[in-house]
Amino acid sequence: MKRVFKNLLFSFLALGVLSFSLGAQAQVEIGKAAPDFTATNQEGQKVSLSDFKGKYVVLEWSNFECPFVRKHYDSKNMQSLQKKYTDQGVVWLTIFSSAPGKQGYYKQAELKERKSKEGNQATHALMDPTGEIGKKYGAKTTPHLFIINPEGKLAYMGAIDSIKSTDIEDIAKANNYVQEALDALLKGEKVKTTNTVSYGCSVKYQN
Amino acid sequence: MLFKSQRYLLNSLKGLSLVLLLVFAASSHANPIKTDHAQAYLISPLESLGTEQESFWLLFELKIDPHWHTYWQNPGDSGLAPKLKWKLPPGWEAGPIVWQAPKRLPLGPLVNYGYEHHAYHLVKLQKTQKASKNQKPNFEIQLQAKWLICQEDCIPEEAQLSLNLGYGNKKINPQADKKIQELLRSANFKKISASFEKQEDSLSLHLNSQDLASHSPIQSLYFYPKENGLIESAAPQTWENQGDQTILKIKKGSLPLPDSLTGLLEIQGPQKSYLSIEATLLSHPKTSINPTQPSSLWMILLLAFLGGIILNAMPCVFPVLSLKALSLSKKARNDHSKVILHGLSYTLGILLSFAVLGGLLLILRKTYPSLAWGYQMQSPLFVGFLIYLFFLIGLNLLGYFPLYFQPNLGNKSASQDNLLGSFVTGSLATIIATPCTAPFMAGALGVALSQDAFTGMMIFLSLGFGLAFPYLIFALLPTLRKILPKPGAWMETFQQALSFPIFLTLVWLFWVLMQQVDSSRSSLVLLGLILITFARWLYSKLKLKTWVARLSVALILGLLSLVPLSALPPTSQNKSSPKEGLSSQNYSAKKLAELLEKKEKVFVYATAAWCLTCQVNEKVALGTEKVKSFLEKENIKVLKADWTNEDPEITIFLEQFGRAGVPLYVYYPSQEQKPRVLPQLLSPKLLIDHLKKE
Repeated sequence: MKRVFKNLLFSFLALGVLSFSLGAQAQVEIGKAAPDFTATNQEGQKVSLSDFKGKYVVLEWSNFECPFVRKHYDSKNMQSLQKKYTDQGVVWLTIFSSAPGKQGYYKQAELKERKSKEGNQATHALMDPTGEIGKKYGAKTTPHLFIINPEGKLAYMGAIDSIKSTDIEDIAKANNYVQEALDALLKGEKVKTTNTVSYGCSVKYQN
Repeated sequence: MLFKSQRYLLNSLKGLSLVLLLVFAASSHANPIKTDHAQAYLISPLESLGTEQESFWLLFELKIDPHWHTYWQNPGDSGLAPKLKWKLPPGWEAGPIVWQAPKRLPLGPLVNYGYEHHAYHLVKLQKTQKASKNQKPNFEIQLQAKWLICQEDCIPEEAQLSLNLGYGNKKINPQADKKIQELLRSANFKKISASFEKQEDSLSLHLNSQDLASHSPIQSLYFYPKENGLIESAAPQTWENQGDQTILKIKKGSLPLPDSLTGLLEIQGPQKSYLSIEATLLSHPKTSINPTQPSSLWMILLLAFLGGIILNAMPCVFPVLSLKALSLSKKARNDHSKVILHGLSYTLGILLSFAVLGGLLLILRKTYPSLAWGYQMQSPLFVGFLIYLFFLIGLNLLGYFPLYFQPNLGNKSASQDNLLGSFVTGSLATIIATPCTAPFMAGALGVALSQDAFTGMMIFLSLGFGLAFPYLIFALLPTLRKILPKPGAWMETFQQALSFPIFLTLVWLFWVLMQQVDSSRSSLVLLGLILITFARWLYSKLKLKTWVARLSVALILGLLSLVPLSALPPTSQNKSSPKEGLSSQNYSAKKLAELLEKKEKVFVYATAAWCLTCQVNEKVALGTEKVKSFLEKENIKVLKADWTNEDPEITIFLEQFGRAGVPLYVYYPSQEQKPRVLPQLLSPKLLIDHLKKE
């Protein structure tokens, strides 16, 4: 009895510590509902995830100064993915969670300019300077990708592809998980790889 | 015109300088190299290699600018481990990076694993082919190193380092050698094994507190997994002591947990120290892939009960019990209530012995988690004891050695009212049943051992109740007893005939013992058997008058005959396995992983010398030409897990499949496909069909 009590006490304490320290790092899970959010886009308009119910939505965390993001933008890999799938009715949201003053933080006008300069083909570029959306999804790196199905459930999360590097030459050799997942989903098939470890620079959250 | 030629000249000058620069870069030993935020060094402990040099260590060192960092093999939430690409003289190859212990580097809500100020990467260079001898007078090494360096923002950096060492006469660079030796020492973490459990959103790592004792008082623990994405690196890890275990609770990461976990445990005690951890998943029968595994407790209890009933028919138990049952037919004419009492005390004897044996196992498993059912048979002392016991039972059945608890058919009064006799027969039945339990009970006992003590005990008791059940039924129901044949002179003949299965069991037990200890010590046991016979003979010839003299002589002679048993060790570690015709390698988890990695098909069979079913399978199926040629043709690699002596690694293997005993036959078609568990009784056809099935 004493031991049971001790164990219970321990579990509660552990749980308390965990939930306290990770209050900001809510975890999303494959097959579970993706949390809704509202953010301002490059034009200053409010955009919510719930606006896109019934469509596939891709969330792409980004920071144009990060070498891992550069790998996929300089090679036009990311832009061509954005183009290919938005043409097929997929909603693509590029999200910037860098805090003001940090690398990858852009004010609205700057964001609009960078979006077109980089050739970003996303439906919207979204500002998340408080990091609220990023922490909701547990976005850790740039790039970090999530795919949400028309029912609003998470279908993929993780890396863009299988080779962790900053080298453009690796793109051709790698398996592009996002492409594989979207192709499968659009064909009505099951996604093979739903969960990978993302790689990249850290998301520059507020300290 | 002039303009054009001038530009031409300028361009060619540019080109020339570029070529010169390249030539310079290639020929010079660019080492160290300064990058924007670090300095890269390639350091060798040898200035010149001896011709006999088979291997040596190199150090790739990064001196990192203040506030910047590079990464460990698992970078944590973000980042990237350095990548090294080597160009070495022919016949040499570079091993993987041997890492120093990393630090946690917090970045807002994220935590990375890496190094500040200095990052040391040790790599072993090894000669692969003896044939190609280095003819050159030098030994040239080129390294292309790429690494990500971050402050808060990240920059990928790279360097082409080269080293030109001498070749022919060995010459050491003492300073570099000392530095590398020191780093090798600090990267040589003590290895310990552990286990872990998966929970809803955390995992708990079970460590043996003994392993941590030398670092107490412990202030904090942190586990760095080698693989990325398995844990939430920013979450605090909490720990507590439970009995002799230290349990570390860790929040799970985004990836599903594999069956084994390797990493580094950081212990903050009086000093910071590290242990290298290899943890295996604690098996849960619920997640067992054995399809025949019943999941509900009632099913398991029923199975254990049925198994107990079957035990009555086993060659080691049947003779004793059939006599016990026959004695009922005589008692049938007597007082009914007395018969019931006999039945109950016999049942009690069995249940109590099972409770003791099972309880002992459950307690021992707290200290030695790798113990499993059949553990008794791994002790040569226990096997020796069984040999004596079976020998005595055999002699007894033949008519020598009338022991008081034996259902003595000739002497009515001796057996009739002896309730203690019934109780002892029950215990005896349990002990002699143990060698036969394993093959039938593997599933149920596997569950028993993985459950809590109460459930485990329930399963043991159901098994015991099953063993007692047939006799009890006969004792309780007088009408049933009527079907028993009438007692008569035939019973003596029957009794004597039953001694032969017992003697056959004896032969097998002796064979088991010979696998466990050397021939001289097993021969001593035979000597002991002769001593017993001699003592018994001497005793009957002495015709002593007083009971004191009789008892003391019996005791002396009895003890004397036990002397050979003392030569047997209680536990045995020396590996020795039954001979069989199949060419195989010894099982280890590492070996299995290696073979699967190489895309080999693997057949693992877990066996033990004392497991009769295993021996039969090996004779009639595994060892046959048909199976051998099939395995060869299909290029299926065979691994043998010999459990004759206690081996934790094999116990873990068995537990993966929810088993607590041998035999177990598992076929791994490939790394991707699930392993297939084969039936416990094999024939060549059955075996081949199972391996062929796609």
